[in-house]
Amino acid sequence: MISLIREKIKSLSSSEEISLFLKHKRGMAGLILLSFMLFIALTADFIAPKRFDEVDPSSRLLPPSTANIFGTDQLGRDVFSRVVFGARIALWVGLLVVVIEAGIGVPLGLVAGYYGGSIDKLISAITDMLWAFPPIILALAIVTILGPGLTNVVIAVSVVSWAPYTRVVRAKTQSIMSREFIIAARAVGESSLSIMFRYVLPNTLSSVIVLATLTIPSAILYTTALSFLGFGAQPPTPDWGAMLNEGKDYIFKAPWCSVFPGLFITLTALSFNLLGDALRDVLDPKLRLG
Amino acid sequence: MGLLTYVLKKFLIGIPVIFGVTIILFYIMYTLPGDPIKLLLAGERVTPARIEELRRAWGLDQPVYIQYFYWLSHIVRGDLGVSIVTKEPVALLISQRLPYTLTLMLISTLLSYSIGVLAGLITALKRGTLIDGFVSIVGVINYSIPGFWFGLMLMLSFGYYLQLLPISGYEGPHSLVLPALSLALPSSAYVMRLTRAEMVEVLNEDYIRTARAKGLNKRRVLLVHALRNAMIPVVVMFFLNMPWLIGGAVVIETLFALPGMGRLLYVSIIRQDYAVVQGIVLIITVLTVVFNTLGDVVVAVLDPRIRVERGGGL
Amino acid sequence: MSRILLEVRDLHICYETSRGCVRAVDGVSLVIYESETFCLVGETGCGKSTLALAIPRLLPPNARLLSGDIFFRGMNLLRINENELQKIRGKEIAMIFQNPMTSLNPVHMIGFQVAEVPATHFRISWREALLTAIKQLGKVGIPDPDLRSRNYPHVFSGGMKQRTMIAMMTTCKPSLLIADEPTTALDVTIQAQILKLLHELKNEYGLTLLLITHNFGIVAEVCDRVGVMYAGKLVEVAEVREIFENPQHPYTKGLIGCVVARKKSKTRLNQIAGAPPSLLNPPNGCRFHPRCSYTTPKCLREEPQLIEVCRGHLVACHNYERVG
Repeated sequence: MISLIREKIKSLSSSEEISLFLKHKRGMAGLILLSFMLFIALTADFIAPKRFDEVDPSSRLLPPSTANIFGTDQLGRDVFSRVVFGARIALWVGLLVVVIEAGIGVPLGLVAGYYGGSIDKLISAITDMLWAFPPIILALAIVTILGPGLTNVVIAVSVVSWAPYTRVVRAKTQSIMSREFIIAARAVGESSLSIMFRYVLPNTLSSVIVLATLTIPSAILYTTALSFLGFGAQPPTPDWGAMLNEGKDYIFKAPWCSVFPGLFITLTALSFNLLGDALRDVLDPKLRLG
Repeated sequence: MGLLTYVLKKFLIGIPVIFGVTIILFYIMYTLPGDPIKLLLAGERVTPARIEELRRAWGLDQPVYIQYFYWLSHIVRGDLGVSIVTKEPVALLISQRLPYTLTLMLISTLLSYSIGVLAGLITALKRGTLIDGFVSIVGVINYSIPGFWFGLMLMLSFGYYLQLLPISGYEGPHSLVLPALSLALPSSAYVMRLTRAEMVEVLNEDYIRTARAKGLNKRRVLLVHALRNAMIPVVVMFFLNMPWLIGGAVVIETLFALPGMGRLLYVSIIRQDYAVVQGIVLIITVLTVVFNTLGDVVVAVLDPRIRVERGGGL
Repeated sequence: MSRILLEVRDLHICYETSRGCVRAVDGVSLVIYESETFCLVGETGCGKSTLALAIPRLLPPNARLLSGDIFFRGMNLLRINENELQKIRGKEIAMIFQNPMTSLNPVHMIGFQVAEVPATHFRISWREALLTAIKQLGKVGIPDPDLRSRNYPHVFSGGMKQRTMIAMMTTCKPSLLIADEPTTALDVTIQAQILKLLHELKNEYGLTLLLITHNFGIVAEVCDRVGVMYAGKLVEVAEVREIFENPQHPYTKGLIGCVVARKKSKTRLNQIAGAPPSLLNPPNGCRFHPRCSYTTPKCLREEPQLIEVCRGHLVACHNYERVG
């Protein structure tokens, strides 16, 4: 799998797609914004003036100042430090959800598109049903069963939103199946598994990359929403959604506790949306998510 | 096959879906930790014999599929059980809350559609101009803002600083303004993107060139030929989006402390009031199936290619 | 010959693409007379469809009209405003497109789509327009036009759709009917029927037909005069007999060779070596020189101009005397 991605990246860099992407202003803006988020996530230990769970009862709910540029929360914790550490959680969660989603959705799409017939009908029916159902409700139901916690939220969100991967990969697989190189591979007796993973999968990869970039924002939005409701990350985890959950009780006294985490959720989601739109324009302009 | 047969068929397909969901729901609730009898007694001290008696009275000694049919027969009669916390019938609780949620959804959908369709059409028609660039960027930003945070910010600005609108609870229809706005923001961006994409695609279609070649004026080409086609997926999305809005309503109603079904779901999960959770999820499933079926029906009405025409085709 | 209906003067059109400007029509001038059938012939991508679309100004948005004029009955179509143009489209100048499958609006009934034309151009009621439409549908050979007018396009076959397009575009009895490869997307048996229909309508209404095609067979059957296009340029214009009996341009000769060889003998299919040039940066001098067997040093340097070699026969070749 990793060698496939490496091959794909190699083929990309040699093509004109890179130069097309470099000309895509919004895509570049997204990339810069994302690099910024990655940078603060990776260097959180150095950037943050304090630890995210460092309580200081003497300086509670202080407005932004030179000492605490984003102010402090109800326990006297530095909001800026918490937001910076939160970037780590958000990006990690987004990545994790997307990997699980792709892990479920891509193989199902491959199988449905490759075999067709009743397997395809069954998989498509499940996908359609899942697609129609409101993901937050389903995720809530799962969290109710599993109990609160960030890991459970990640599981719940991934389990309810892999449907787009199956749909896209299935459609791609169907169109690839009629191509000569697949017919040739079959003719020389390649096994189904080998055809699916060595011939079909690489050709769906650019769509999957676009899709993954575009589903990270919704993964982050869903997990923070669940954390906001109190089902996700538990205190003192500096999850942005959990911070908003705690901050909303002090929204009028200390709006900065709520403003900054939300702003960072928006910026992170925005960076992926901009990047994803650009990747779609460049790699797979016909890709439809709706 | 006429339109009516098509519609009936679509509705009939929905029934096994609802049926399937009830099985899943029942099984989930059945396997949930916690003994329903103990929850029912809520700490009351009774003899094991009494528990056994209650177990038999509630049919909990029966095999799981018998229990399921027992449960299903109640649901069909509109009996969704009793809330363990308030001892009120679940059906009553839901029927009290549902109107708020449906109103909220309706207002926010109207909002997001009027803004989204308008913005989508403008950007499609002014493609490549500054207006297109600006509105599209605003759209991506709106799409990235979490609705609940936007709600918090609205609360802070319109409710607290400007004191224009109520912050929480339901004091009348104006209490729905801020929640509806928070719910409408992300979906307006979605509607805008869809409208723009559809319109751009349709404007490139050969039949638009035909319409122009006929000598029709610009307005007629746009309204009768382009818009009529581009709006089909947008109108369908109107129905398919409804169930998704219920999900958003849970978060937004909780934030604004509205007495709707979404907040009831949240509260019931917190209180482990599973009968209510079960009832609400069931209602949401039914609504989802209904809206999806309506979506299918609307496509069939709007797009003649979906129905199979009477009489033979050549 | 009769009066001039349409005159194209030094027309330059390019398409803006991400890789530069594609000069699809590069300095074309031609004249079409009233009541004749003029065929524009050339390979795919030679700019013949672009030229056709430029006449009623139906070019796609990325096309740029660089320079030139198109006179229709003395009126410069490229200078009049959109409102005036709308009165001409469908009424004076009508157009039939290559792909009937996508040229009809899927969500409107056949009758509605045809009736829109008379309803737009004549002061008649919608009812009358519908009746006109049904009559015209019958005329182009749609059985049960009354019933069929209430069908949607997807139940029609390709041939029926093209008939519908023809009905739509002839209800107003236009002076000029432009048919852009009207039979290319259809079955061979249907092709002949559609051509016959066009020919009949042309004779009945006395309209002028501008037929765009890449098929020399069609040219031989229905045309009065022929223009041959190559790489955005008009390389030869002549009456149909003259073209077949006395082609002066090596490209025309090659094209006819392809057809005639197939008909006359069982020898190997004649073909023109090489592929048409890229219009992003076309070759210097004569654009055909890389594929031409008569090339001289002059062809590489200097672009040949259209000159009249005998009455009504124009050719753009430095060596036409050697070719002919």
